[in-house]
Amino acid sequence: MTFLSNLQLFYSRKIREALRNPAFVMMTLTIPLLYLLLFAPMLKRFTGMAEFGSTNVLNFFLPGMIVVLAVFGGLFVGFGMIDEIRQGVIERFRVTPASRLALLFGAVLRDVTSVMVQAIIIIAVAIPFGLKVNIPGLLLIFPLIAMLTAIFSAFSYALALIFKSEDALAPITQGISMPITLLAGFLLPMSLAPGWLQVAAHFNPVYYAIEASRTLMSDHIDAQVVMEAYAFLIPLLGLVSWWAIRKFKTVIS
Amino acid sequence: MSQILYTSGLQKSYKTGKETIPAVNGVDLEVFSGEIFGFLGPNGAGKTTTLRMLTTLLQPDAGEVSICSYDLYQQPEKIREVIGYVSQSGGADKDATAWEDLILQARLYGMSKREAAARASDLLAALGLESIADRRPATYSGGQKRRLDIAIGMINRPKILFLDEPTTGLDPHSREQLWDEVRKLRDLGTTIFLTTHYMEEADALSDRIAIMDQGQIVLTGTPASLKDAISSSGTQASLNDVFLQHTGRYNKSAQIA
Repeated sequence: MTFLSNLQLFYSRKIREALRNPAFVMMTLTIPLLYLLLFAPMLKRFTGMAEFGSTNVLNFFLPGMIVVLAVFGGLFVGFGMIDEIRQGVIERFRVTPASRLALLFGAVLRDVTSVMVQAIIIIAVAIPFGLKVNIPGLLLIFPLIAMLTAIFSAFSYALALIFKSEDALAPITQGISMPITLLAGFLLPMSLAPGWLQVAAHFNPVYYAIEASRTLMSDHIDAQVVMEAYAFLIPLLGLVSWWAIRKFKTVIS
Repeated sequence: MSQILYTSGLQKSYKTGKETIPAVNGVDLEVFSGEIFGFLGPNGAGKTTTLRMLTTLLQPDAGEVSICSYDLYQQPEKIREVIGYVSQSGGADKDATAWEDLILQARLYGMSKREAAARASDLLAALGLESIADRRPATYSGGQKRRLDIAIGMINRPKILFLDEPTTGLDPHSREQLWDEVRKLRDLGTTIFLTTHYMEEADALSDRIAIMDQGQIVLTGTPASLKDAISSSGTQASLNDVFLQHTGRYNKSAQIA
C-alpha cells in the first residue's frame, strides 16, 4: 500500500511539474501534428505500392510515427532528472522511507501519460486524412506503446543517475536514438533492407513495436507478429526496470 | 545524556580509474541526544561522504553505525524514519510551492492529508515562511530558500537533523537568523548534526565539535575546552587557531614562508 500511495504522490508531482511548463505542454501537443503536417503529404505517391500495405498508406506510416513518439518521449527524459539531482530533490526523497520503485515509476508513468496523449492526438487527427481505425487493433497498440515508452524512460533515468551530466547524456541518447529508429523501419519497411540489417533489427525493441503496430493497424492482423512484440517487450521492460531501480537504490553520490 | 548516534571504524573509498582514494578512513563518532554537534573540516576532508553514509544515501565499505539504536545495515528504513537531512543543495522542488512541497514530504512519511496540512502550517509559522507558502522557489530570498529546506528536513519531527553547510552563501543577517532557528530546534529537543566551514558558526552554535581531516577525526571536544587547550597565558586562542593547528595548515604555510 505504501508503494501505491507513494506512486500516486510522485506521479502527481511529475504531472504538476509538466503542466507548469508551458513549453512542455505546447511541444507535447504540437509534435504529433507536425509529424502529420510535414510528413503525411509526402505519402500520396506511395499509395498502392505493395511494401507499404496495399490498402491505406497512412495506416502503414502512422504506427511508425507513434512508435518514434514513444522512443523520443522516453529516451530524453533523463535531462530533467539531472536537474533534479542537482537541486538535491532526488537525494531528499531517498532520505525518506518512500519507495524507490515509486520514485522511479512516478516519473516513468508521467512520460507514458504524455506519449499516450500524443498517440491519441495523432490518431484522432489522422482520421480525417483517411486513417482507418479498428478498435481491437488500437487496444493492443496502446499497451505496446506504453511499454516502449516506459522502457526508454526508465533507461534514460538510470543513465541520468549514472552520468549526472548533460554532457554525457546528450551524446549517448543521440547515439542511441538514431540507429534504433532507423533500424526499426520507421520510415521504410525493414523488408526492403538487406539480410544483415534485418537480422540486426531483430535485436531492436523498436522494430518489434513498429511491426506489431503496423499489423494491428492493417486489415489483416498477423497474430504471430503481435505475440512476438509482446514476448520481446514485456521481459525487456522487466529487465530495464530492475536495472534502473538498482541504480536508484545505490548509485547517486 | 543518552547516545543517539554512534559510529566505529567507518570507512569509504572511491575508485577513480586504477586508484583507490580513501575518503573516510576509520571514523569514530558519538553524538548525544539534545546537543548541537559541529562537524568541521577543510574541503575534501570527508565530511559530506560521512554525512551521506549516516543518512543511508551511501553504503559504507566498513564500520559500525547506529542511530537511535538502529543498525545502519539491518534497519536503514527505521533510520530514515527518525532522521532529517538538509543537503548542501537543499532539496526544495523548483516547480512546487512551499506548501505543496511540504505536504508531499509529509505524505511520504505516511502522514494523512490532515496531519500533513497541520504539520506544514506549523513549520511555515515556526520558520516565518507563511508569506512564501503559495510561491515557488524562483521568488524566494536565499534565507527563505534555506529555511524551507530546513522545514522540509524537519517535517517528520526527526530525532536527529543533519545540516550540511546550512549557511553557505547566506548574507550575515540571514545567517544569524538561521543560527537562531537552529538553536530553537535544539531547545525543542532535536539533536543537530551540523557541518560547516565557518569557525565562528561552529563556535557560536555547537555544544561539542569534531574536526575531520584527511578522512579521520583529529579532534573532539567542547569549543571552550579545545580553545583552552592551545591557549597560552594571556592570549585566548580562537576556534580558527584550533582548526588550523589540527588540520596541519599552520605547519605547511610556515614551511612555505
